[in-house]
Amino acid sequence: MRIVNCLYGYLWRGRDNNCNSYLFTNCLEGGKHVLIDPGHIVTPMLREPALDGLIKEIEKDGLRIGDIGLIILTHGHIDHCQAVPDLIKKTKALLYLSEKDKEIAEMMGVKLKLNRYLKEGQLIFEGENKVILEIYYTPGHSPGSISIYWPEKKVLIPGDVIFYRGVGRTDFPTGSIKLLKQSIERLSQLDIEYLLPGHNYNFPPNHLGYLRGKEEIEQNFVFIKRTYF
Amino acid sequence: MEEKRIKSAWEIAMEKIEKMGELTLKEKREMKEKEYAPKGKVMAERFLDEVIGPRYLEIELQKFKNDEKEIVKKAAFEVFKEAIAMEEFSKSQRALEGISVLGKEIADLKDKISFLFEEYKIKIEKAIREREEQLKISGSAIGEINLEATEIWPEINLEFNAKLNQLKEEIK
Repeated sequence: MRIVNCLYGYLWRGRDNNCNSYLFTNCLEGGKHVLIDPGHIVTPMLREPALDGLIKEIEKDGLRIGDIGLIILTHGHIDHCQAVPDLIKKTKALLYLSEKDKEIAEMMGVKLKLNRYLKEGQLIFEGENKVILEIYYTPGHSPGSISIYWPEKKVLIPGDVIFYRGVGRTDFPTGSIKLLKQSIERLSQLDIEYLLPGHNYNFPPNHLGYLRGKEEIEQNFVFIKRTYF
Repeated sequence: MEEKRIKSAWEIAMEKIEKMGELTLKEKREMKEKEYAPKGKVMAERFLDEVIGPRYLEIELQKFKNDEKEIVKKAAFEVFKEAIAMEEFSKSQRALEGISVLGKEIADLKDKISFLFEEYKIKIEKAIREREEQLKISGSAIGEINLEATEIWPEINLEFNAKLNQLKEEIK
């Protein structure tokens, strides 16, 4: 599903837990794409075929999974990265994640073969669709969580930092509510038109599955600060 | 009719000892290997996982004597040797350290392997940079290269693992 310009969203609609995935299309040379958070291969409880579903959805949009040139993970939790080794076999894509979350993935049983550690700064893709992203270090849900901001279209992909009317869990041994609050505070200063969360939690039925429009997003930040801070 | 009864642990142990008397030297050695090799294997794995350090590994080894110690060391050595691989840079360094603790003279070889890793590192770094240039990826958010992710360049791994295996064969 196209969200804005060259950015597509694959919002998880299954019953079990899995993350949403996002795809910046044709932004790398040779018509290659950048995939954010591929998610599970199969979901843990109900064994729903998450990766097969993602591939089908991408193909339904007329795109090829083999054209993924880069995978970025917002963090190293298994529900965001389990499918990475399989996808790399299929695509030979590069893989980026923050250094602090490499171990987290390993602790969860996923051996991630990263090519680069991500840090704060700009990430520039100069394919047919030129995309300049800003990477923010937003720990709390995990020690190396990052958020991806696309200033040109005012899109924020915060991973599991914020959801619709909710925040990421911090009850894991490596979580920190203090850091999460600081990260949310920081993200709330950005000019955002599209907030694309890592999960579809709390959305009322028939909702788009992501937040759109300044007003809705500001209200969401207000709700979160009032409820969790 | 002879009444069947459950044997005590003592009786079972005595029977085993009696049987051992009938064992050949080779069989005795095999039995010892079965008992002590897993201890060496576990010790080496714990060292590789950084659960124990070099000093503790040495202390653990001192607990064994004579051929039992040899079996433990041999099993540990096999684990360390197996762990040396181009795709596992830090684990390989640790494995080499473990081999030194076992008392093997590998200073020269360590240098050769380190040199090979350096060469490999340069080649992988170049491959990652070339791929990024080809895809037109750039920016200040791109951090350090992680050398343990090289499966997308199988040809480089093949070439260097062949060289590494030759060097590993020199460790006796």
